[in-house]
Amino acid sequence: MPGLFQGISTMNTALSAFQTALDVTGNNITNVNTVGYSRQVVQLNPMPSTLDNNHFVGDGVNLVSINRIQDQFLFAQQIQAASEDGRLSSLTSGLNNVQSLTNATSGASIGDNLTAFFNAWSALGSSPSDPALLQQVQQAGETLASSVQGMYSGLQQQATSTTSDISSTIQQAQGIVNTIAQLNQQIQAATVSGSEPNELLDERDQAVQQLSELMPVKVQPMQDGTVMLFSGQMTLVDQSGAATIPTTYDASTGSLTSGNQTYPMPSGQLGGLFQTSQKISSYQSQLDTLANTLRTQFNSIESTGINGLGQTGQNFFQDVPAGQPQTGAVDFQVDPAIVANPQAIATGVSGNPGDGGLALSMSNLRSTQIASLAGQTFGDFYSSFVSGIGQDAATAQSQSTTSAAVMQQIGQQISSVSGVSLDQELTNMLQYQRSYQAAAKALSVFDETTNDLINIIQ
Amino acid sequence: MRISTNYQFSTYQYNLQIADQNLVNISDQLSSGKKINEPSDDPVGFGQAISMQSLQAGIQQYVSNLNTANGSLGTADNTLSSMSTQMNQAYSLAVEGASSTMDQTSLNAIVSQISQIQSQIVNLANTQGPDGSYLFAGQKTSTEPYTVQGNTLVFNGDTNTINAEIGPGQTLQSNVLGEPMITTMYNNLETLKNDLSGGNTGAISDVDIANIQSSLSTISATRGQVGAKMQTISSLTSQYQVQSDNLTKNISNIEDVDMASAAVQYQEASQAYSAALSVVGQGSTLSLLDFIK
Repeated sequence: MPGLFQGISTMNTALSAFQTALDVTGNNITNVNTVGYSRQVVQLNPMPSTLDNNHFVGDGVNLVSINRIQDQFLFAQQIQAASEDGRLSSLTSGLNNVQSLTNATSGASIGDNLTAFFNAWSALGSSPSDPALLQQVQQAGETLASSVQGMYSGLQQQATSTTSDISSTIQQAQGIVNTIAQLNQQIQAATVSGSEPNELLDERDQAVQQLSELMPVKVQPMQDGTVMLFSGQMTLVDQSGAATIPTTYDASTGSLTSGNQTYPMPSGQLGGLFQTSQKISSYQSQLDTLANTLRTQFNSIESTGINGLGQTGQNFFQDVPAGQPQTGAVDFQVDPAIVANPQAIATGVSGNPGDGGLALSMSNLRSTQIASLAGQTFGDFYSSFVSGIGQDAATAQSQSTTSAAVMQQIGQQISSVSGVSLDQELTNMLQYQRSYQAAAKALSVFDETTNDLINIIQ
Repeated sequence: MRISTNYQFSTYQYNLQIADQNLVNISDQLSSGKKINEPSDDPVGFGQAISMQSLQAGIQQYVSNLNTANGSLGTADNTLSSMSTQMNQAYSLAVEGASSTMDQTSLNAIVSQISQIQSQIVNLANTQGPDGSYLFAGQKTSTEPYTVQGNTLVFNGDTNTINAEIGPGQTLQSNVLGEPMITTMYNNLETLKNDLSGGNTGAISDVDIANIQSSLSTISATRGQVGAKMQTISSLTSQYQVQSDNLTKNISNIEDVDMASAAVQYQEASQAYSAALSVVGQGSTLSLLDFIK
């Protein structure tokens, strides 16, 4: 036979459970805008029954746990997509910067200057001793050289800033890895003591996602609530805590290096930065080819002539002595003797003021296919150089748009599972509120019954 | 599918952003008039456009070279025409001198007229172009090509050609070589003078007149060649003009926006944007809160 106050104690379990459920609902509403928050639900179970006059009567409700609603599969997808998105967004922004260096649509690009340079030689061909035309060739040469050199140094700056971005990204990743290791400890402690560290779990998921934007990340959940993190073959977090991410790297292979270990970083912002840096050096080497070929081609013609000062062997573009390795675009410029005096430009082999034969040969280079430019003319080489940059940027842009859409879609699926719905919470709130009211009403009925019984005794 | 509040609003935000981006893209094209504002907008088209632009700039240079060549050939032609006039005059004088009725005094008067013609011809042979270069000096354009020493004409120039680039790998000779035509002409007149002074009327009618006639026909043959070149120049120029116009058209096809279709696209984008805005405005007003007292 149950005790007199059995009903009251049963109602007490209800009041306390519904109060907690209302609190959880309130907490969900509070966090409706919190990034990374997973909605929480209470899990209610009936209390075990006790035997009452041959019948089992329930003893109320038991609030077993407060669970966060989360889908591990979606989360794994999200961090993978975040790595790809991180790679593409840093590659896109890098390549967009490179693209703006081409000055392509401004009318002052290398291509425009190349055309102007050939035109200047062409004009000089039929009036070889005209001082104005000599000056025009000199200036067109200087403009061309400075635009090649200018783009090269712009690329160099871009490469430098990419390098410093790589270092700061590694630093940032290390910070997040440390945070995750700390969260692991706190979660383990809470789990051992039997509580549900939902907020800590959310916080750790957030941190893992942030890390996955920086580098590829693989998560391995452990029994005790902790996770192990890997990036390819590299351990980031394990039971002993956070590992140290190597700060040395080889951009040309896109890997972090530690001793003779290499850890490829194919995705994440780090991967994007490595790829940007690879692209930049390939563009720089194409500019080197352009500069060196201009030197070789023009000098080999120019140096055979006799200039207006009676000299022979004069180079048009400054160059190293034959046999030494050429210096590329970095110091590409017109020979100082020609900068000082346009009369130093030779237009013919005879030295006659009317001999424009060499000027015409140089102008003719416009349509000459050159072996060191992969059998293209100067103009075609430039045009495929710039459309190559455009193609790289366009590919990165369109992939980046796709990956952003994928991120959005996964985010929405996660939001659909884990996100707070105000309508749902309000409905729950009404439900718990009414339940609480009913329990309170029942309690007052039990109270009156008990009261009546006690009054009889009096 | 369960819709969370965040899902609802982030969807609004994402869709608004896409609608806004489309609108901005098409407005960019409309306001700049270009569909390629960066190489990445159309890498292949961009590459074609810059190749065509450089081709066009090259053609403009060829046209400019043709104009320069036309100028110097024109000047040379005028000079040759003046020489021809002088030689015609010499021819009349020679015919006069060949008649047996002339006395020696009259013949001597003709001699001094021929001398004047000779010096005129030397002046013409030393004609300079607008940039001060000598037209008949070959490549020695800064040296006065003809000087008279005693009774002989000395040529100080050379017989090299000056060429203008008029196409890829194509050149056109833009100077006229006066040798040996001018020296022969001068010497013929010199002989005529000697025969006139010596009263050698027979030689005048037998040899000198024929020589002058032959000089005249050499001049006219040279002028014919110059005229043919000027015709080539004029036909090439108009040919290049057509090519350049076609290139302009092709470049425009690649780079420029088709305004009509862009305007329609703008209309569409702007409607999509305003629809997205109105969904946000109205969708967000619906809430259970409005119904709970």
